[in-house]
Amino acid sequence: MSRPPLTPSEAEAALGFELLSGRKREEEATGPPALPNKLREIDLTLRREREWVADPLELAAYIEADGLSDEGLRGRYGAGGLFVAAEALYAQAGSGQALERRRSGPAPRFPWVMVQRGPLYLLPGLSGLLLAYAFESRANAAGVTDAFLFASAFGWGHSMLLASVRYAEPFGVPGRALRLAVLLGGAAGLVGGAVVAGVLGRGGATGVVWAALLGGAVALAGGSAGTLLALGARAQAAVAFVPALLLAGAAFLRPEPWLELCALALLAALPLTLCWAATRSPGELPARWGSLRPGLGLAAYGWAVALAFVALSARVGGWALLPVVLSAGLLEALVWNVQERLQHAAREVGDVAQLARRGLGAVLLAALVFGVWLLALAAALDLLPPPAPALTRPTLLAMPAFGAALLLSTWLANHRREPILTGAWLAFGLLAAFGVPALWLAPLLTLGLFPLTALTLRDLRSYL
Amino acid sequence: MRLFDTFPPTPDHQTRVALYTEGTYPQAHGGVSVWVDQLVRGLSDHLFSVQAISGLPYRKAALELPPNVSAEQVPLWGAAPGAAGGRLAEVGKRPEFREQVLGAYGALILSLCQLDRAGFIGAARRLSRLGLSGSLTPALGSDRAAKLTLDLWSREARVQREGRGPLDPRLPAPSVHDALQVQSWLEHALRPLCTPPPEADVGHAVSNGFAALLALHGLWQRGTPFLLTEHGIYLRERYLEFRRSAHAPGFKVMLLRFYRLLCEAAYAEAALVLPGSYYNRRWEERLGADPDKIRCVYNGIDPGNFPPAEGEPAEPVVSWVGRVDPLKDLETLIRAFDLVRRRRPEARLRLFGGTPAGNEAYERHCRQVTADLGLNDHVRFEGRVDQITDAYRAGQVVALTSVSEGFPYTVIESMAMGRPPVATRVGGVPEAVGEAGLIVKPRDAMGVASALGKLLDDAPLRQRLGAAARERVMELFTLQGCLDAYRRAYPVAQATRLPDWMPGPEEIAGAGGPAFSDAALRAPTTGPSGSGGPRLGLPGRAAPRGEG
Repeated sequence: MSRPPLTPSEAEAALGFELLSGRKREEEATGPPALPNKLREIDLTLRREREWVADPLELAAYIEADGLSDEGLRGRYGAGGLFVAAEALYAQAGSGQALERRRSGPAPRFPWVMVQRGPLYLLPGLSGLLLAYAFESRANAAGVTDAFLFASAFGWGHSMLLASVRYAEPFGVPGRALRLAVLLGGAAGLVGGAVVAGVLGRGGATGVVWAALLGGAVALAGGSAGTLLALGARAQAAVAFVPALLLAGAAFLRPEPWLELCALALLAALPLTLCWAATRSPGELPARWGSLRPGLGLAAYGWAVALAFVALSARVGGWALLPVVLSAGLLEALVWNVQERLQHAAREVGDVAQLARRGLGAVLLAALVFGVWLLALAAALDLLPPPAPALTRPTLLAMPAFGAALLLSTWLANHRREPILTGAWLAFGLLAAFGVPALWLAPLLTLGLFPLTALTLRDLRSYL
Repeated sequence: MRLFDTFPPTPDHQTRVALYTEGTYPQAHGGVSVWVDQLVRGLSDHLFSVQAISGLPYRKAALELPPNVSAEQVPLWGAAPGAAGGRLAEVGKRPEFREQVLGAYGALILSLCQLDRAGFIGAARRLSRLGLSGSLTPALGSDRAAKLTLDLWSREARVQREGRGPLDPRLPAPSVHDALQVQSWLEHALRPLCTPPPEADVGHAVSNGFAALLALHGLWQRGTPFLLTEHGIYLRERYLEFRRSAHAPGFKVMLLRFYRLLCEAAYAEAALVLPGSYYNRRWEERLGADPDKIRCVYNGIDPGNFPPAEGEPAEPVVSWVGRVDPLKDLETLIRAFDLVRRRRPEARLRLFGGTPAGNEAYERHCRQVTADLGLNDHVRFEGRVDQITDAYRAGQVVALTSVSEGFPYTVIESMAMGRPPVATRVGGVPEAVGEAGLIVKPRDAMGVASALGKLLDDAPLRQRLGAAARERVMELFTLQGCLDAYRRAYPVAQATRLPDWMPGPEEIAGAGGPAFSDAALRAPTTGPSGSGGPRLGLPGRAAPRGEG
């Protein structure tokens, strides 16, 4: 498809009346036509665009769209028609030269706004926890706290399922499918709460009823919050829990059945109402089990992480996990930023090995940052005076590795690695339940995720 | 030796047409949708199986389907073929099937890099065959497909950079992101090949591009010959679409190459190419369409819907009808009108038509120009009107100052109502107007002003041109004429269908190529340049003046 470059004399010979007047097709000529003076007038307006065209036909389309017809080009500009003029312009120096420039754009900014999502995740949990304590202290219904724990753990995977459904329809809001997922989550919380309280056999029939109600309300509220956050409605997610939190606080301080019931109703109803308003658009995804099925792998991964957390909190205390919950927004922001950095690098690099090296650097740096942040936050919490419990030194020391593992795992889960990750977290939970210290488990998990991360970075789709 | 069997339509056999559309009928309103609607209703003795390419799946058709039409949507986005499971998904995941798909995909990438039409057709044909057995998505969405894209493209870019001539197309070296974008886009673009083509006697692509991809799929898998209608030039429109886009250069270049080769393949394989104006022929021939296969079929309107306007407004009013769009170059019209108004202060300009999403800035710009020229009392942006005929009636003259057009309905509709047009020499406009209006250069405010002034000042001239315009439409641009043309074109395309025992088109091409028989088309009319051959459905009419 290429021709040898012309010498100046050959190029001169290829010009001339026959070619430019269109009597001779340019293909018959031995080289590209030079630019007649009159065409320079057109070139003045097209020169910058000419740097971006890859083909004479592209230039012909521009010339025509600018109002220059075949007739005009022949009559006024002395060219042999549209295509000949386009080729004459294209043959000039500079055509297409800008195509080789890589346009990577500025480095991605850190999404600070996502950081606030951590405390937002805490709101439904805090409301539910206050209510659970209120029930327990008033009615001696011990199973209610277990139901709350179940609903909270369930919410981890449930919110991942919701995110998966949401992103299954990136150009719209899959309202019907999201509503189905939220309602199913509520039902699971209701049944699960009752089963947990019943199986543990604590609190009697009243306890089971309260446990079912609380489990359902927390699951509905958590699902609604997850949906609102997945749709970017942060303000609504924050506002939705304020009344319930205030009432739950009041019920915690002065346990009264009507106050508890009102708080419970508000906890379920207000977020759900706002969620319903945000999912008005029916979307393309139908409200069918088949719409949720693709997200179940991710949900299972979320539940595995939640189980590991439950097992871990049984060993080191729930207080130790507060930094992780508070930093959930930072975790998401870091993972988001890492992905944007990978995409940015992919715009600059054409070599897979080089890109993988840069990618590994970006992912590991983010893991290090998150680990150090968790350590700093845990250390800060440790400085709080009683009744805040003190953290043991091994727990504090495990924090950086645990944070790094969590970040690597979250990034990997976004890249279709959830089956391996689910297994890894289940093993982590199991070992934690059997008493293997977190100080050993966390670095082990982090080290185990390194090769998987490196492997995933060799997959080009990780840079999408 | 007879190469083709013919299947002339008989009274007991309704012609079955596979009608391929993209983004128009039946999912959206617009000029092409109206055209298709008129076609399927006008040819009520034909059965139409519509396959409609859409972006995302649509829930409801925008146009009501008549009884002789069934429609199936073919979305490029949304759930992938086989996403719901079943045979497509199961076969698509088989390793040996994925290998075959990746082999064909590699050939496709190479053909794009080398701008090799034969290679493109070969690769697309292999994918077309594979797409009917299993989903292409598992292979085309894989890491291997991404690496294949990057490796082949990088290698070709390197080779071509070393020996590029000044007129050769440029292939920039890809970044990883470019390769990923192209791979992802191609996975979506090739999804139509997983849709079984309808059983039909003849196919009809209403535009080039993806509609033509479906037509090629039908030809390759069912042997259904097709004809290709082009109202505008698909490839040219894609070039313009990318003109000011922010896409990465590599991505843009590969997409445009895909469109170019797809369009060329459709021109090469179509039994007939039917542009909406002679003007479009230049691009079609340039892109490899056989001139003997090109026949112009003008758009037509139902004259009953556009009766002659009785009387005209007392004041000198210029009407403009269309969508507010930079291609319509309203700025030139407003500036030209400013010159008119200086001589005739009572003159008014009324602009009828909505502003599509994305063009709001252009509308603001036009309003600003109007305000800057002090024309706020003289120029009115009327927006959409319920009755388009009111818009034509509102003016003594109808203006069209577009810089790019196919064969615009607004011109022939206004002409049918006896309103003489002042229009720019773009696309098929001169063919439409003939000598029944005034043609001016695009972007020439002085020329437009002069033509408008001439008509506004001279009532007898307006009357004479208005009558000639109506007469011209009745002669050349009626809906019935258009329908007759297609009624004749279908059997001609159908006649190129190979009997089952014959080898495929590429084998025949290797042995000298199929002889195109257009005997059935021989109507006693020649095109304006004399080289265009007969025009379908317009026997005995005078050739329009205009582009060759």
